[in-house]
Amino acid sequence: MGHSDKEWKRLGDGSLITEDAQVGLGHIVPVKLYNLVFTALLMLTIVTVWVAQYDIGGGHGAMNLAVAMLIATIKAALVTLYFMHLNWESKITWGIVIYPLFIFALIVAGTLGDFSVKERITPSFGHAATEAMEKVATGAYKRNIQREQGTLPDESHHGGEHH
Amino acid sequence: MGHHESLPLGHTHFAEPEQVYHSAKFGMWVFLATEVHLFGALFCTFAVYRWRYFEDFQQFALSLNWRLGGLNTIVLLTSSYFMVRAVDAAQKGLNKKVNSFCNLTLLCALTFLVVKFFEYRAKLILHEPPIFPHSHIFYGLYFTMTGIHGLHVLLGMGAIWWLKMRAKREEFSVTYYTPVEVVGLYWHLVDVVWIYLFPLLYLLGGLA
Repeated sequence: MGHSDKEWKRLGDGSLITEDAQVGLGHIVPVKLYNLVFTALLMLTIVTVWVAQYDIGGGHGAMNLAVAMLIATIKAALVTLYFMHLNWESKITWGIVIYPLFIFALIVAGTLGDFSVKERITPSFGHAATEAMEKVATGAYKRNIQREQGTLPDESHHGGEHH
Repeated sequence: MGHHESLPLGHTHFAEPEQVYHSAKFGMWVFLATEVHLFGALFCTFAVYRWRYFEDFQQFALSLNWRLGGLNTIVLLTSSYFMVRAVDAAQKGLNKKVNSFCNLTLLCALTFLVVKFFEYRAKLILHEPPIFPHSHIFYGLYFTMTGIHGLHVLLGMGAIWWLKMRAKREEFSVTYYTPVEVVGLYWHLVDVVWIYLFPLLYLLGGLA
């Protein structure tokens, strides 16, 4: 946690302190490190945009997705570790960071796994429901356009319309 | 340091200023965990529909303006940098610097929302989005995810404004800067969410 190497800091009021003298209130990070992290974040943003123009294979853009998520995760890690000071936080804080990520991975893996298995057993699974939803949504969209244009045939059958 | 007597502990039930600081910070981390659940559910929904309607989603990604999305990514990263500099200034008891860095953060946040406004206007008012099968799913997710994210930016701006006011009153010191650090944590999470939203929504279909 960096308490062993005593580094003297000059404060706004001109006084000098060590990290120990800070009575445990957070870790002062050199501004240079923030500059470095910020530069890395900007570079990684450029890289992720640059990679996006190529289809780097894997079928169904799998590699593009993997690379985009890898870069995003590196960026997120940089922000969390250095800007959010997680690097200097206690184990219990690390726990509270890792547990929702674990739950998230579980939910995504479970949901996608469930979908892919059911799709294989009964290919039409879910389609009936989404097609029905689409019919409703497309119908509503068409009616809105017609209403805007004043060419709505006859609304009396739908009931409950208001202006 | 002898700063303890100036600490605005008030009538809290905490024994030590250290404990106040660590409890507040830990509380924010717990809140951020719930935020991960909130956005996680949305990201999961996005994953399911992208997996199911892959070709359509590629098309829709192309219909979004990656230049504006990229600009907003850089703007938000810059805001995070200014925020962390505000925290750094607060740790050193430099209230004037806290105020200036809060101003810069607010400026970035405002820029983000203005750019977002033009993007929304293009999609909602100018009728730019292509209407294809499943487009309501993509745009439903796009507006829900970026909308909830934008709401977080707006709330964050309120919190940073509050910090700025307190810094103006010289309320922060070496031994008391908890609000700056805690708001900073929240602001960085908003940045992290956007770090994932940008490639997922704007880049996966290639560059238009």
